[in-house]
Amino acid sequence: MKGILGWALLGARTDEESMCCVAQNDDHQEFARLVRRWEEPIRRLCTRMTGDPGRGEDLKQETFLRLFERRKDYQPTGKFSTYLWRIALNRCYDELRRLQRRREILSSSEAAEESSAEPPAEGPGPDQQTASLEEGELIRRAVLQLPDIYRAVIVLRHYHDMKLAKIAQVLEIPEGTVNSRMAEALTRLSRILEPTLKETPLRPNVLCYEPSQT
Amino acid sequence: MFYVMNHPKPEEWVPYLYGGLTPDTRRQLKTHLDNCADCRGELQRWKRSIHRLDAWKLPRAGNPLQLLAPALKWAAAAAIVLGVGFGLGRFTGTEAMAARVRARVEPQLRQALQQQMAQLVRAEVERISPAALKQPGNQTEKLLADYIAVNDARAEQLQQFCLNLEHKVDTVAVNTAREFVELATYHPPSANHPPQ
Repeated sequence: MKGILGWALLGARTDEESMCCVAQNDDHQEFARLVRRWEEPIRRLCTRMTGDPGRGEDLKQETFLRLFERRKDYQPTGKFSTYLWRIALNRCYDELRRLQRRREILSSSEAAEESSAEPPAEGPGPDQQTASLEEGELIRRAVLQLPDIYRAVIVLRHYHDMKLAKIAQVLEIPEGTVNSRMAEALTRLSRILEPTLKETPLRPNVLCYEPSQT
Repeated sequence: MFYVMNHPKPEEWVPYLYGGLTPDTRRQLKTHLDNCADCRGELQRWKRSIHRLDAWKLPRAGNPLQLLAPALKWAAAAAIVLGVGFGLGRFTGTEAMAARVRARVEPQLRQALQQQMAQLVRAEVERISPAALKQPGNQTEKLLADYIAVNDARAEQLQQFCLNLEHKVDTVAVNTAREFVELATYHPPSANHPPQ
């Protein structure tokens, strides 16, 4: 009887309730449930932020590790998903900074040979090269060319369908700042992508928000 | 003319694209857009870029084992270490180890021994079989001869016995007949008066 009740409650638990169980009782079962529920979106976020599926996978693992390590810091008043997205993004920023430092060290010592021998995976390369690239790879390189803060808003909005207000919460910035970052991101992205435009058909208004009453 | 001269800031177009504007603000921006080719062009470029973002697709998490590979590597290493430790712990007791070894080895050993024994027996039988096949015949003949000899001896003894018996009977008969004669001719010696 107790078991059945437990299962009923388990099914009805929100992410916030599950996280409270983890924070207060070190509930491994609830933690596993949260991992199952969120690992795929987090993996995709980390992959898009770094442009590397393997790195995305590692960062996903680190994100959940960090979530468990800092379980006591979780405030039940806040949305769990906001808390988790924030941890994941911070892990991505840390990793990107680390990669940037490594690139700088490399470029300061043996830059010339390194870069000519092997083009960086995250760079778009010359225009004549990008023209022959597959569209998906071309977009990946364009997104990765954006500075981290602009890439984050693009990724959250377009690949995770996150509303602007939610992005502001995750990034802990005013919504106006989200708008300006998004505008800058779209401007830069267009600058990168427009020269590579072939005959991509544009469906008018397909992405433009149209309220029901005009 | 007023709208064209005063372009909205780029960030103002963001909620215009994604929603979140009051109807009034939206209407104002729409009016500007209808009259400003620059802003219209920029917004078109944004839309084209947004549309193209869909081309970067990620494969879904296929094989969960493959995705968990980094964790599994450590898990496997930990399992091996734990397994070795556990095994050592279990086998530190000599008796327990002996019992386990015996339990493991004994059936195999027994089977091997049985096979070896069976082979030896088979080889021995093959080696002695010709002599063994002759032996029963000899023994039977010997037994039969013995039996006949015994029987002959017994028959002879029986015959002798019968002869002896006949002789004795004859002797008794002769003696008896003689005594009958003597008895019939008997006269008592002390009688004075002869019967008249």
